[in-house]
Amino acid sequence: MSNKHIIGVFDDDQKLLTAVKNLTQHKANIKDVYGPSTSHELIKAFTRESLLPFLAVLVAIGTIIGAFGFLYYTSVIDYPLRYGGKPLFSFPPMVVILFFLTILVVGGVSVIAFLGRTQLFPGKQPVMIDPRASDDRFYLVMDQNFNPEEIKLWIIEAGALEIVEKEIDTQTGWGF
Amino acid sequence: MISTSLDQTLVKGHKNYGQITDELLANTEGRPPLWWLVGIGLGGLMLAFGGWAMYTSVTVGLGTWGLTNSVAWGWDIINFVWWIGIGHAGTAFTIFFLVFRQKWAASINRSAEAMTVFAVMCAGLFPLIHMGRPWLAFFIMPYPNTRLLWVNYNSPLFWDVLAISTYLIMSITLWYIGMVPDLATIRDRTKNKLRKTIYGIFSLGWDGSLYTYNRYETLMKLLGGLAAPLVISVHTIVALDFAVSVLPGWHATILPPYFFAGAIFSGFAMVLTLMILMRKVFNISDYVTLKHFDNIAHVLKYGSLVIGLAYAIELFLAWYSGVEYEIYTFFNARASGSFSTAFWIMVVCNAIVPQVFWFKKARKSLLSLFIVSVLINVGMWYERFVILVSSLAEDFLPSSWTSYQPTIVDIGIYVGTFGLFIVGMLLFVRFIPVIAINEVKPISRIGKENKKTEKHVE
Amino acid sequence: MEHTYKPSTLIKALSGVLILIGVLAVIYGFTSDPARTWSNMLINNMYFITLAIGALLFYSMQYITDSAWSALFQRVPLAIGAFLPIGAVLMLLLYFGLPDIYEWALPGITETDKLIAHKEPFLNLPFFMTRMVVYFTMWIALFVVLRKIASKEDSSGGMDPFIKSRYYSKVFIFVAAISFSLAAKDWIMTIDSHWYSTLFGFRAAVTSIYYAVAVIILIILYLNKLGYFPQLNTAHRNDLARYLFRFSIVFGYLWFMQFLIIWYANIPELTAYYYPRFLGEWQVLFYAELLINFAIPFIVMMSDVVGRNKIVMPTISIILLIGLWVSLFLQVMPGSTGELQFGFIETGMWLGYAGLFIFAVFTALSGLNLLPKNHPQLEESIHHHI
Repeated sequence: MSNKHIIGVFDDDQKLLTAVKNLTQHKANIKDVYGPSTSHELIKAFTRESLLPFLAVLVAIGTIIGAFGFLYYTSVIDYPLRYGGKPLFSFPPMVVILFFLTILVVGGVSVIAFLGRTQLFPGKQPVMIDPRASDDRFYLVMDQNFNPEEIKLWIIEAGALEIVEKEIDTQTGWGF
Repeated sequence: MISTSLDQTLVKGHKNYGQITDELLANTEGRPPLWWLVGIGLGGLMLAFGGWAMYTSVTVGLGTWGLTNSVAWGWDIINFVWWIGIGHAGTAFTIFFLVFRQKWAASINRSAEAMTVFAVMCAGLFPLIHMGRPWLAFFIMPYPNTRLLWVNYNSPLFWDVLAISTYLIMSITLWYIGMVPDLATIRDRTKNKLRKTIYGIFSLGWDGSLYTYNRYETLMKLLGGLAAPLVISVHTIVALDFAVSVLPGWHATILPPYFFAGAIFSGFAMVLTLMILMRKVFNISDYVTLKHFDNIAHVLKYGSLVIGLAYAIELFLAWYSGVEYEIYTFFNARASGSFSTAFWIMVVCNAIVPQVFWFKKARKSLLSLFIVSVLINVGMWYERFVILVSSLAEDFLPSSWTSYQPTIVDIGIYVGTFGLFIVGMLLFVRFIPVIAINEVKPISRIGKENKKTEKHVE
Repeated sequence: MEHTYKPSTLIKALSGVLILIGVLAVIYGFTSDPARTWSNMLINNMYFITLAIGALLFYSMQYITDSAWSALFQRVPLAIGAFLPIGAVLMLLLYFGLPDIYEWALPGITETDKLIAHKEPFLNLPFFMTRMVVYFTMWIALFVVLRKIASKEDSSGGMDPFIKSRYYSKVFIFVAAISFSLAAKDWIMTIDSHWYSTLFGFRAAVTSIYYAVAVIILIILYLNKLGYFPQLNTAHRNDLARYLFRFSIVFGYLWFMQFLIIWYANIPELTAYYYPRFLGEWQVLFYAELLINFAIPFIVMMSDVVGRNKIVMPTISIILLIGLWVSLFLQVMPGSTGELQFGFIETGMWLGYAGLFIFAVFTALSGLNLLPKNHPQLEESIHHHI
């Protein structure tokens, strides 16, 4: 199977949005869009909602339980020591510690999960359709599952600058 | 976005994306200008002075500081609180942008966050050196050590360590993750092989895919959501260092929100100072417009009111409490007496001077904006000085009363942190776009589009 | 598109019945336990004044932050402010019951209590009443001004009323931030006359917006159900839900800070306030306050999808309205009557006040256009999306 894809080139994200809406309405599969920036509407147009927040909530609950257990173990069971006449296990200071630990752990895990899921890592060789994808051009890459002529028509109709057909190498690797 | 009769333009001029890239990357390209080299040199000298002071503090001991038995917290903690406060603005801008969807914050976000990162680094130095033996700093972490002890979780100083390190890590993360797309832009533009490799490594192989953007947006919102309570709580913890004690002037329930308001206030002032300078040297006046300064001036105006109100409440409730020590600290030590000069500098700079921003003229003139923003940070320094030293120097027991003078070592460390901050900021403006390009691009059209093509149907 | 609103007979009847219940409760209360009745009156006054001030603060905040999304229903928070005149009258009536509530108002107390004697320049009857009059004059005057401008906007339009509203919003925020925080100290904090907390007034002023948003949500959803505000979309509900979520954090934060600092430093004069609440017979309510006002809204509203649900949102709002009552009950009662009592006086008086509140708000709603048709940001608000 050839790796040729129809690519619509845009210089305006509003026109791109029109094209994306058109194509999704006609059930034409969009492979991806590459561009220097994005907008919420564009993201909503054909991607699923990320599940990251659920992970964050799970991690938060886990951290709170784990850290609570640790604090309780160290301050009551392992070495009970009274400070300043406060109870061995006093909840108010614990709230503060649990709060910060939760934020730290959730933040860290989210970033790691994001990097893992999107397969970004330092030194990765990016698969750029064109260097201008990070400057001022948007590239709408289509899957090969529809009548190419119709797709081209819709893309042109939405106001694309040009349409190119190009093979895309999806290999990733180290960049140095 | 439906435009209304209000002017909503955020970026001046009709620019296409390519132009925006060119203009905003200008500072990272070409040879470094002379002022930059001079600045680095100056910052380096200050840093060297600070290095000497830190070396002296560690090798000779903390006796070289101006601390006494009564005033055990002096310039070190004052400067620590001051820098932390300044740091808060960056995160606040991020929250404005990500959580409250204030789109105007997009073009200030990046530099404000850079300021946060360096300010928190400067702040973190002080408690570290104050430990006396900074290489043993890990003792404060709870780990199964040879002494079989765990740390005291009830201690606000332990919370401090946790809060500051969490804050530093989170703000670096937010800053870095936010700039990845821009680093990719530089990577794809540059012809220089070394630059390409280095930016290539740091841009993590970013390819601008919409699927990546989707997760990226979720991640940024999540981090912004986490940063919102974090930024409030960090300065709260700093405030708790004082407030949980029994000292008059320190023990006040309003201290956490009051410190937080002060932090936002001083941080915004610092952002204003820096943005005015950056606007002078870089060609970014289309992105950071007078409207941005106007918005910041409004925040400062209201911040000043909150601070002024807090001063008044503290004074009033000190009298209302009927506790003679409270009354002494507030009325005899602060408002009149040994610390009255510092107290009135604080009141004038923080509560009175920023009120000029009620006048449109003051908000539109760069000079007045600059002067007020600097004065605010002077005032905020004095605020911390008044809070810290007046309560310690004249406490319950008149026989232990003392005065407080900083030594050259104290001053050296403070100057050194300025050097660190200057060098850090200069490196930042040299190697990283000072305005978040990928965030500014979509908002550059707001307020200019044709109403007809733009109607959204719910 | 409905521009105006007329209160239905049901609402009128409802408010009438509620007021009647309230009157019965007051009569019953004064015959059986006057001190308790006065305390309840203070609770309910503070309760509904908090809502009114909070709603006006919300209204002003929208102006000073240039928030367009709320322009659609901005007349609702404005109408809630209409309770202020009624609140003023009821608050001034409290004059006759001050010694039943406030320790410092007892005749002769200054001779036996050194601390109260020290506070006498501030805590004395004439000055207390003067302050009260000043607060209400300022609030009502600003409310009237804001309402006048809104009515002028309906008739003439243009940018002028918008700019004027923005100006007076600034004034209102300035005035209300100072006066309401002072009023909360005056009316509530001085009940425990030895105790003080610098955070107290600030907390009352900030959280007032929290509860006001809950009421605003209830009114908007009720009107929406009747067919008004057809333009109200998911995004509006979403933003209102987020308000509740964020303010739940603010509430939790301020609550926790006041408690933590006093608990930690353990100064006898200050812990005396928390002792009966934290460890004494009020303990259940102490935890209930935190649960209702912080934990439940925080957990439920965390997800936008759940938060903006048409059933969840009003439920949480109603829970919050209970929460405000619990919160005020816990602030007032231990210091005034010192007894944990709950019965017909409490419920009946609250219902009576609610009747007055409904009457005032819905009458005010019908006085102006429901939809601010000349508001420059209306269009943007209608097309609000996230």
